Amino acid sequence: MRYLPLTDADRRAMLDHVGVASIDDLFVDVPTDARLDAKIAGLPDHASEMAVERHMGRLARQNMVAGDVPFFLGAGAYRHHVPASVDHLIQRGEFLTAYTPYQPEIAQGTLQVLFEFQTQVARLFGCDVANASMYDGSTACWEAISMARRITRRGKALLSSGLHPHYVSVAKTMAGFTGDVLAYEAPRLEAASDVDALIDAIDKETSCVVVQYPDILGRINDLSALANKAHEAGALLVAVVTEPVALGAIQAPGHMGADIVVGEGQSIGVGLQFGGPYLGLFACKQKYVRQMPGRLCGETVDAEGKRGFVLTLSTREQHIRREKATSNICTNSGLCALAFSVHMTLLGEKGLRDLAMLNHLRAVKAAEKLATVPGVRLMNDSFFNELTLVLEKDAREAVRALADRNILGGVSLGRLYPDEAALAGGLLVTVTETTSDEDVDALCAGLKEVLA
Amino acid sequence: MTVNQSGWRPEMSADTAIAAPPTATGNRALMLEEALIFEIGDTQRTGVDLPQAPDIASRLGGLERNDAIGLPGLSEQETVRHYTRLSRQNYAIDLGLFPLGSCTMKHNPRLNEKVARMPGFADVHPLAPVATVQGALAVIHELVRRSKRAAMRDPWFWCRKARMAPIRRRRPFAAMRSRIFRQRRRGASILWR
Repeated sequence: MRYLPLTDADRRAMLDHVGVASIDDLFVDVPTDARLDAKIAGLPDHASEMAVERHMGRLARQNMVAGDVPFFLGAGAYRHHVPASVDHLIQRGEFLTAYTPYQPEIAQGTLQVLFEFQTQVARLFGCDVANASMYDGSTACWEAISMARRITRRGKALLSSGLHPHYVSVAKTMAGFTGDVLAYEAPRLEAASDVDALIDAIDKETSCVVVQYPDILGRINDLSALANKAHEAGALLVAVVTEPVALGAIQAPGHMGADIVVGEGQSIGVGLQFGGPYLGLFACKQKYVRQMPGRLCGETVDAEGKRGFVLTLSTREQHIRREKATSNICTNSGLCALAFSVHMTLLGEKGLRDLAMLNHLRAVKAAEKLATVPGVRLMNDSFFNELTLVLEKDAREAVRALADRNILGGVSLGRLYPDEAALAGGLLVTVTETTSDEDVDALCAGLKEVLA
Repeated sequence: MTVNQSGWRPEMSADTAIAAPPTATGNRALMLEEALIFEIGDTQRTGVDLPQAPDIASRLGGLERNDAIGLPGLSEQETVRHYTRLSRQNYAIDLGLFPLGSCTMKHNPRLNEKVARMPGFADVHPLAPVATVQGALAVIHELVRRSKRAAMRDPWFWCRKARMAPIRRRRPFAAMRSRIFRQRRRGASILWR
């Protein structure tokens, strides 16, 4: 496809209209030594559409496709079946090529979608209000820590050891610029979580406690006691959900007292896509809405009294308030939010609950089978669709050996925590509705060989 | 040039203007108003079909969700109609010029959509063993190499020009870009950190 399809006559007509002789005349303001006067060395000329497609197709075929092999990876990115109509609808040009909805008169479609999306997220999380999405789960998590600092005017956040280490890493990067203190240590391979330790660590400097639900090792913990203790100390509870499908089966964090609930929306409607674009979810209690980051869409009436939708409370946002904004985020993951919303509408509450229980019960069945493999121990008492196996050898090696047998057997904790020798035997295994009994049998057989 | 240069349009007769006859959808012609999914959906309706779950005891740690969530479902046909109708309330690049842009609106070739949906890119996990995702890593590597060629020929040009300190502390996301900038100068690979 040609990016510059103009004819010489087109160019001439435009130059004449502007009243300049040549294209170079348009760049007289640019200092001559800053101008590009030759081709950029090492940057090839554009290729034809056919050539690009062939080249990219060749690269795509060098990857092992999740759907082609027994597949058990999760750890923050989950493989679910996405109905064909989701991808069909998000490719409608009116959605795909629409601008950010600054002009509500010409963006009612996008605005109503976002309004519905927010309500879906708020209900799923058990919160009063949700925003129109963030970049991804990890940045949403940081924004929650930042929001808790603004609300409590305290600068120390307690991060649970069960929080995804990549989320911790993003938070640490950002805290390096804001000065927030983050207390965190790596998890231990045991069925009990660190809720009691977190409760003990809450003090008068604590802005928030950040806890993942289900956590990185798959454990499901009741957050109510933690919420109460945090509130007694004037701190907030931030819950992080990396697998929102779970909330069709287990209690919503908002109902257990979480003040802010954030999450990664990828697993509903959005594919794995090697890590992005993904979808940050963000919800909170109504009383904190003015400290919330990101876009909010609200309902109103137009001059004729008809219902319409607009961006609202925009004074929180950086396109209005610049450096006084609650956050640097301005736009949102609109197309991914649409995909989430369409998939959630197709599911409905019944579909979501059925999907969640299908994931969970298949995972229970798989866990029982996997635990019978010699050299494999199931760590979890509770889990949703992801669980931790403890192997008698380094799980990183096991994962590589399984990949050699065309089995993508899970995420080793060595990959997530390269510096933690005590976690080396840990293997995160995820089972979803896309995992068949044959896949589980293949993993069991593969592990038997690899661990023998 | 308009075809109808005279501006003539048919006169509405007096009696058709009196009362708008009700329509099946509630809409008049293509003037669409679309209800919210919460007004037309039902929590017990679903547009997906799922296999039966295994008959086995759950292990959710006693935290089963028993409250009504309140998520409406639509059939597939209703879903397609709902979002197709909403799409028609948007103006977009595909419909015409959009001379607005804090985010510049450019043409995105449809080839990009096609390539991004190739299973080798779309159905690949970010934490898959490195040996199994060499194609995806090659794309990122190629992008980094070429972006460097295009953008970093002389990274200090404007700093010298404006006689300003190269790094300013800004708000986090902007500051992060400065950091990437510094790392690049040190020759560190930005992507593998």
